Amino acid sequence: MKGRRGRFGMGTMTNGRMFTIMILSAVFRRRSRAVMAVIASTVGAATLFCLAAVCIAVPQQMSEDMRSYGANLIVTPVESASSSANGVDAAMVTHTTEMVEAKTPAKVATYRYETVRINSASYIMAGIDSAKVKAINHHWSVQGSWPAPGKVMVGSDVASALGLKIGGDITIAYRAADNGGGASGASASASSSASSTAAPSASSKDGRVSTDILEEGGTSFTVGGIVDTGGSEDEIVYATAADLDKLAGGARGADLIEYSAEASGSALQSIADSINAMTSMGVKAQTVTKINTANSRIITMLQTLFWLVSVVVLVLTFVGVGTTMTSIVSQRRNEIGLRKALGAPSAGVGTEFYAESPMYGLFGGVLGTVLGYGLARVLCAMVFERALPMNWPLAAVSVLCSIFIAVIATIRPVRKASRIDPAVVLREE
Amino acid sequence: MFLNRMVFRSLSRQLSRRILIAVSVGLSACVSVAMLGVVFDVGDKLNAELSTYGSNIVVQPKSDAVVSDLYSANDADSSGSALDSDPASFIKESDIPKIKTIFWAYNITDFAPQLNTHAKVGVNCGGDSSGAACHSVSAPLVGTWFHKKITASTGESSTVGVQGMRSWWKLTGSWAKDDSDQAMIGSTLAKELGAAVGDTLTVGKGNATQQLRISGIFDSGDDDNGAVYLSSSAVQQLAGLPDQVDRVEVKALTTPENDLARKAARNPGALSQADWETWYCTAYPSSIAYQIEEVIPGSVAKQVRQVAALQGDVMQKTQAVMILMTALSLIAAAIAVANLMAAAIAERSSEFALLKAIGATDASVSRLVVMETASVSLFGALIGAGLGSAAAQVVGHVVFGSGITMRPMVFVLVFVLLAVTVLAASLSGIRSILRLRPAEVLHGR
Repeated sequence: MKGRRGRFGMGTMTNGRMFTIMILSAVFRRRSRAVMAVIASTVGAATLFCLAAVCIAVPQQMSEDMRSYGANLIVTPVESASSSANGVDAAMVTHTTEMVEAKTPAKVATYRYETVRINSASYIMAGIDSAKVKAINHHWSVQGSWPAPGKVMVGSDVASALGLKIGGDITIAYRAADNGGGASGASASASSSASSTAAPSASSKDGRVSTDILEEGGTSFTVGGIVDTGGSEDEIVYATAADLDKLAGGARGADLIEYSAEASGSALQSIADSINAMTSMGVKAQTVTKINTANSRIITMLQTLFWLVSVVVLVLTFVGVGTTMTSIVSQRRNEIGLRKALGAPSAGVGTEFYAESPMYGLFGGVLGTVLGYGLARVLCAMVFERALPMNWPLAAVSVLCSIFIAVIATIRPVRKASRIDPAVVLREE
Repeated sequence: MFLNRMVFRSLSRQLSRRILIAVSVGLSACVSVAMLGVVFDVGDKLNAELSTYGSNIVVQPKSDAVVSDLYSANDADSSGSALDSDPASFIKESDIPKIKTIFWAYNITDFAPQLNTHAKVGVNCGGDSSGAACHSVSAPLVGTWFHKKITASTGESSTVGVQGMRSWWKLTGSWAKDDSDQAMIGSTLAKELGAAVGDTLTVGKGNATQQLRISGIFDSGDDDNGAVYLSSSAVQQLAGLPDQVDRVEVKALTTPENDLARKAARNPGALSQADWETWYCTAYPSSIAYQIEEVIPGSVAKQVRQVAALQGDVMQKTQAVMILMTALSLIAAAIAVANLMAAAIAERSSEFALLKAIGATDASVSRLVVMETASVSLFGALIGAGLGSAAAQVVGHVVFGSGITMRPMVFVLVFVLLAVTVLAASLSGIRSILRLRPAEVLHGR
């Protein structure tokens, strides 16, 4: 470029400054063209960032959502030792939960089941912690409220069998004999401390116990809500764990621990295996295969779907961006011809273009990434009601990608430009 | 005709430049057709995928749903297993195919009746000595259909059964045949009895005994692992309950529930006439359950909320994501086309200026531009639509294992969208041409 008189008539300036000014003037004098180039790379970068962010975030969030549709790992006491009658005690629940949570984040809920009598017909009553059960079982359709102290939630089948309405009262009685020999022994020992009357003789004579029940009449509860799940839950009466303990005359361990773990497939199976391997714990873990397999299949399917669609869209978008950039550069044939006629070497012309295009790419890339992040964030907020954290590596990739595409798209027109015969071009073909 | 010739000449002489526009329009058409094609079909495809969760509606006898476990205190021990007792009320097995005659019959993909009972089960006990000689345990029996061909009263025949509803079973051996002496047993029970595929299974209830051949051992990961699955006729014979079943599992393609469906599920009678019709004619789980109750006398159909709600959730979210992704790519496509069109027209300003200088009117120049652009874009759009359909099929085969049904709507939408975009872009280009002063342009900058 040395010795060349620029269009600005400033031949004395250094090459570096000259170069900068030429590029800047190329950008500012043909603003519309520069805007087009920037728009093209913005669109490319926005599409790239948004689609990739969706592909990464959505299956993960979907699987998180799926976790609130029932447990995928259940732990029950082993039915042989005396522990079965006592259930899994609190310390063991904590221990098991620690074992699970060491491997994967999990939500946990415990259930204690007892057979109770309502109008002398037997029903199953479960003692639960409302908040925890609710967190795992998002799909339970509850009219009214979840169990609270003094309030029970009844299954829809129980409700229709007994003609129960929300706000109504039911009297629930507990008979030790209903809950098997071992259980009655356990509750007898528990209730003896509570100085209950009939407990020690309960297991010996059935008739006597039922008269006891009729004398006592049971405890009165308010029906706080009715639950409908379409499963066996419809036949169960739910109360808070404390209420059931009071009714049964003593606290007892859980009969069932439900986990909704983040792990799936073989990872979950290995957690179950490791719990089962510890025979001293007296518990048995089981994965809920039905939900597990289906969940992992659906997630894999969604992942494939999103990635595939994104790749198709991205490839096409980038080809589109490339052609736009190409057309913008090739519009400047005349200018290139003029410069060459004035004595600029082909390499110099090429360098200028190679410096100009990445600028469009960089600018558009940054703009597009911001836009894409905004779109992905809005999408996540709308569909999953969750915030999307910024993915910096992805942002870097999307900016670099748009710079790269801009440069690639410049190669062909510049090659062509270097072959331009100034005379032909200046004569306007 | 002069115009046509002009357009043709311009197209043939500057082919490479026109190709750029065609390529760009084609790419946009390709993306839009592929995305819209997938989005319109994704509901059906997802529904089919979601059926891996198993049945989403359960039909029970009316009285059973209410009092089944009223007096089951003896069994009720730990896990809420009041279901251990034998059922006391039934649905007629011959009524079951009527499920295929409801309004949403096409959405019922599979169903299987069950007759549950308990019996003494032993392995390789020999024909006559059923008891002392061999180890036998009491186990739940499930009499069902495995892969049965049924013909509804409408004359339509279909194949239904548990085979299509237990996708999560890990099976050794093969599925049992309907109305035969074949049985399948759960892995826990098989271990307890020491049974293997091909062994003879002796089941006895009261005085009746039957010899069955084990065709397969399954691992279901739930309570079924302790059960025996055999054909419904065998259990009916054993239990002395001809033509009776106590539970039907139904798998249906459903629409995610909304407020209307929830309101209707509580009490269909409370809906207004218009709402009722909308509800009845939409494939909500609750309306399908209601229609099943209508055709099977004395039954209660309940939606399995875990499955139904999960399916609804996955479906809604995936569709929402897909629609947003489609909208995004459509916008990207439109911007790309508009951008390139504007660039292409600006590039030719001197040519148009020359035309104007030698006396072409604004109208004829505009016509030339529009005609040219339209023909090039149409060419690009046609090829793009073809490629887009192919891309959609690839997505369908890779993700869902089946082709995507391209709805005509997709093509109409894409062509309208492209036409609007191309026209808008060329209009802005034309405006700049009309403002051209031939002298200035021809003289050069």
